Amino acid sequence: MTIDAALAALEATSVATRIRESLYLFPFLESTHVVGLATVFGGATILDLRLLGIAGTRRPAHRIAADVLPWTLAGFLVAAATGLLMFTTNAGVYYHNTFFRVKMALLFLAALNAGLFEATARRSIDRWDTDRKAPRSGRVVAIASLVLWIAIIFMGRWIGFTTTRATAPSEVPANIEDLLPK
Amino acid sequence: MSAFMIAFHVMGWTGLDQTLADTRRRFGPWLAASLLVLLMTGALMVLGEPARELLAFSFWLKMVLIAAGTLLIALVSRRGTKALGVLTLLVWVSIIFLGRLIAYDHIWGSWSPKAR
Repeated sequence: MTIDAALAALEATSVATRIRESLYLFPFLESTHVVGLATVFGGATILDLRLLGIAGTRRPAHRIAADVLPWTLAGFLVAAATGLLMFTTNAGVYYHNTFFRVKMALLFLAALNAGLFEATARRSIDRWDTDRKAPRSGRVVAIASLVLWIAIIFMGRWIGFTTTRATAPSEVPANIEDLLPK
Repeated sequence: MSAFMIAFHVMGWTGLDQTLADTRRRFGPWLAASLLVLLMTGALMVLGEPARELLAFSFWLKMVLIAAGTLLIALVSRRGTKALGVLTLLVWVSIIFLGRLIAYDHIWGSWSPKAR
């Protein structure tokens, strides 16, 4: 089975068909995806700013990590689940979209970066917990995290600009004059 | 997320080693700055494509909820009751939904000015 055949089979599943044919499901998935990504980016940023010594510096780093990381992970799971469902509706188009591919590569790098944090600065957190900023390894991870997640959000938005949903009804023409009293 | 963090604190989900005033001081300024960026980029988008937003039911409901959500944050970060916390979360999640739904205003049927 070629990859294109697999993607076509994915698009033909009943879940994908159901989403495509619904007026509400795709917008609902997109909106939920935004709630998820806002939580991921917000949670990650709160910790990154602490690592960099920019915000929340009077609070021990481990407390901030314990506060935001569960929410960041939950937000990621929500975004991943809704993203996967949206992918199934038009898998062939997304798969060949450059912005989608770059986004997936950046997500992989973000995961590696998070793993790097766990393996380096977080392991020694007791030693710098109350310092204003993290050791160099933690600060490098924080900058990489900020850059990666901002780029991921931009790529995600551009997937929407460069792919068209097959069933999206055409925009009804509207004029600004319609708003004004006649 | 700053709005969420204030609401999460009130709900007892985060920041339990902090006072509500600490949490407000930590997130309030970032929230205000982010809101300003959103208002400015949003205003540019309205200028760029006025009919898309000004004729969308989702847009106007979103604007009302942003006003309500901003007031709620000011309120909940001072007098944090759980009822206010839940309301704040609901309003801000709804704002996110309505923002995305501007692109799908037809889902409102005859409520959308575009349908007329």
